[in-house]
Amino acid sequence: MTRGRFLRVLGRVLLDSSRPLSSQVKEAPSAPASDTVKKNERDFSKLRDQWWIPRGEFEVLSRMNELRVPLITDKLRGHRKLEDPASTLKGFSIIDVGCGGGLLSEPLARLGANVTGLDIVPSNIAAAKDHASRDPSIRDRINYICGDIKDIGEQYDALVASEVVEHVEDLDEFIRNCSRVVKPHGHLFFTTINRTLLSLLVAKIGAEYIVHLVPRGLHDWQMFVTPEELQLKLAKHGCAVSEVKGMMYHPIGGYWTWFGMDCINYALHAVKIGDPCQKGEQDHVPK
Amino acid sequence: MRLVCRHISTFGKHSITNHNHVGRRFLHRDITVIGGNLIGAATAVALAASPAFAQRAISLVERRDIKFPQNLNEWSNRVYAITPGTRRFLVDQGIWQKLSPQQKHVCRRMVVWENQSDAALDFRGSDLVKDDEDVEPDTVCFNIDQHALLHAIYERLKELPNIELRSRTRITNIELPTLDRRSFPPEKVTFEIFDEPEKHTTDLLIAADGFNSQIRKLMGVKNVSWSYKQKSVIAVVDLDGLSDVDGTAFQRFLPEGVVALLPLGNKKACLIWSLVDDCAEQILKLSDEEFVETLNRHLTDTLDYNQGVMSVLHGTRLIMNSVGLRQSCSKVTPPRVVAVHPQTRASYPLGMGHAVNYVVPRTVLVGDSAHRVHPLAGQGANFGFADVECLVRNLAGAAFRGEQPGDMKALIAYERERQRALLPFQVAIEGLIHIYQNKNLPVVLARSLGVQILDSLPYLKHKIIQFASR
Ligand SMILES: Cc1cc2nc3c(=O)[nH]c(=O)nc-3n(C[C@H](O)[C@H](O)[C@H](O)COP(=O)(O)OP(=O)(O)OC[C@H]3O[C@@H](n4cnc5c(N)ncnc54)[C@H](O)[C@@H]3O)c2cc1C
Ligand SMILES: C[S@@+](CC[C@H](N)C(=O)[O-])C[C@H]1O[C@@H](n2cnc3c(N)ncnc32)[C@H](O)[C@@H]1O
Repeated sequence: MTRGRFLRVLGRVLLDSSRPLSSQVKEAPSAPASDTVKKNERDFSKLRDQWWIPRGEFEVLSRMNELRVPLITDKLRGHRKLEDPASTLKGFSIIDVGCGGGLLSEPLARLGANVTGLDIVPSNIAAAKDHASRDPSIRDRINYICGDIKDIGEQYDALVASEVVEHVEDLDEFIRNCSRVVKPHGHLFFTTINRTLLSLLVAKIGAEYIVHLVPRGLHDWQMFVTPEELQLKLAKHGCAVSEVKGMMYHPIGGYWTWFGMDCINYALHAVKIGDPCQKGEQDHVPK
Repeated sequence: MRLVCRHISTFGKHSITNHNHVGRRFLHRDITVIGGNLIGAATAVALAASPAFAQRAISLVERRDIKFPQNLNEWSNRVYAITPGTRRFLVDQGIWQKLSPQQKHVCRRMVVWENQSDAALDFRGSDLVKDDEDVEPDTVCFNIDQHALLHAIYERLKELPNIELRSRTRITNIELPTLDRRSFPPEKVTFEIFDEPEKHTTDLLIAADGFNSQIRKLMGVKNVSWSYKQKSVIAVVDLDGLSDVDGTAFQRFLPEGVVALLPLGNKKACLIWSLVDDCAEQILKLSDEEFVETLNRHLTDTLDYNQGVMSVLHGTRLIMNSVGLRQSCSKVTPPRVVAVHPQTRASYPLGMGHAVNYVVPRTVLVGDSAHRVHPLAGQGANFGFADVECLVRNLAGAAFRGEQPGDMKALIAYERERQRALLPFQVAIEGLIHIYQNKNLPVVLARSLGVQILDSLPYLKHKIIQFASR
């Protein structure tokens, strides 16, 4: 981000207080969809080698597993007692949309799930494939696909899109597809960064520029998504939100904890109640 | 003492055997524990019994022969003061249940005194254990013989089908994965077993091989250590019955050392007398009668205390309070020793050790290999069991989060948690020993700990300073 653009964003935020910006503002600077793919490709392909390196660029993301994996297992299994870790998610099919290097796909497969990892950036899928191929205990249970969610025909027991929606340009279309690829009564999990003044300060300026926790320029604050926006879009496509939980990263010590407020990072769990698979398309909801 | 060979043989073979292209056999165990004394054996038990590792193959390698005395109800000169916290761990592991009632002697009071004429520090067990029905609320500790405790652990171990025990052997040609950032995940640990042709691989190597740990040296972690040039003289003694000797542990600070008596019931006690090397040598050479006489003199004489010794008493109180003991003041009648059991006198050297790191990829230290403390506070084994609890909890948590076995995040969480808990103790014990020789505390702290430890653990700096300046 250039200095001028940063100041513009900051100025707009300051005028608007810490209230999330309305969705109209979000539309304004949008670029054509193909540009986003290119931006993702540009941003992520140069980080190709970084996914699995200890203390690498994605360390923070990898550590988030301490919260998101238990969230997923708790919701999918209910409160059944844990026995063998390898059968925790046995029988569940999960699609990990925006899987990146597979930081989350691998643990889910290790817990017994059949995982499909989807990403639009080829170098991410290459890194993910390369890493999983080295672990015989999981490599047969993960299928990595490079492509767009609109081309997925199958339906899964659960969908995960962790730290992805903030990189997606046409969110409405993305959520419609998310809902479409989940079986009725299936689960959807999202984690992302909220769009508040605090998240601008902490997640964008703090994490990218001051303490260099995440690669600089990776996040466009205006693309951050509030839980309310996500909930509305999910509802529109037949999914009911069951829980929104705030998450907090502690840079000293390097770990995540659940947090009483969702003003920076949050996780959202939804269940698909309707089957908008056909309906969604017929309704033709204007964007 | 006659040792009867009640051998424990190899059982429960869960393993994967592979042949590589050269035709050499590869044996894989998910987790390998080196050192089968208290802490190593307890680690194997806690792992194998955890639902997270019930389907995993665990191997325990001990250099010595594992055998026990015929009569496990007889007290030897090695007795552990087990805290209620450790008891809870042992109960959870099904180890406590293997101990007969006469093998665990309850100690309700601990008296630390200087001079007979003065008030003594009188510690009672905390209220914390009240919710635990079968523990009396005021229990300070349970005194348990090392053989009885180790035997209980091995009895439990035999019930677990996924542990393979290899005793009277050692591992050789150990290769730990390098810390190369490119080759991630790190390669497995490989080793050979003495005189056997196979190559062994393991996802996680746990070193419980004592303070002289060979694995720690291989890990290349910095170990801060020194000898106190002191020895502990140990023995089993008989006491007169004038005070409540069966329920009370006694400790007296003397200018030349610390005398401690752990009650064993029937007026018997285990003596742990820490002295500078020369004194210890002399005391070991005395006849039984002279020994008893010297000991009684040290227990009852009125002494001139200097400032240093007084501060040690104060420091001990802080340690006791921080492990949750209540404390009050009362007069004590020091116990009198009437006899020493023949052939129970022995001694062992004392030293301090602190590994700056407990973990490297796929390898972790537990027990004395990670931290060796002066028996002043009688905490060595208790710290080790707490390591095991913490390590297994973190590893199991990681397994249920789908992490790879031996994942570094879980190991680091273990290291952080244990060092945070232990370092203040080590520093306090260290401080006590040094003030004892009438030295200035801050100077001693700075010198003995070395700036490098403090710098590698910045979050502890504050805590240590707080602790030391109290
Ligand atoms: C005199 C004395 C009194 C004590 N009193 C108390 C007390 O009252 N309370 C208390 O809590 N603690 C006490 N301690 C401390 C306690 O003894 C230790 O902290 C505890 O035994 C540590 O156990 P460990 O299993 O880590 O190591 P160790 O007991 O040293 O065991 C290491 C084991 O590893 C084996 N081994 C070593 N190298 C290899 C190898 N290469 N391959 C295979 N096997 C190997 C050894 O044979 C040994 O069995 C006392 C210590 C001393 C010296
Ligand atoms: C911050 S990474 C998150 C990676 C992974 N989910 C994790 O948490 O470890 C975001 C990923 O989303 C991918 N991505 C962005 N937009 C996408 C889209 N429309 N469809 C699929 N993947 C997308 C990017 O390529 C990138 O790999």
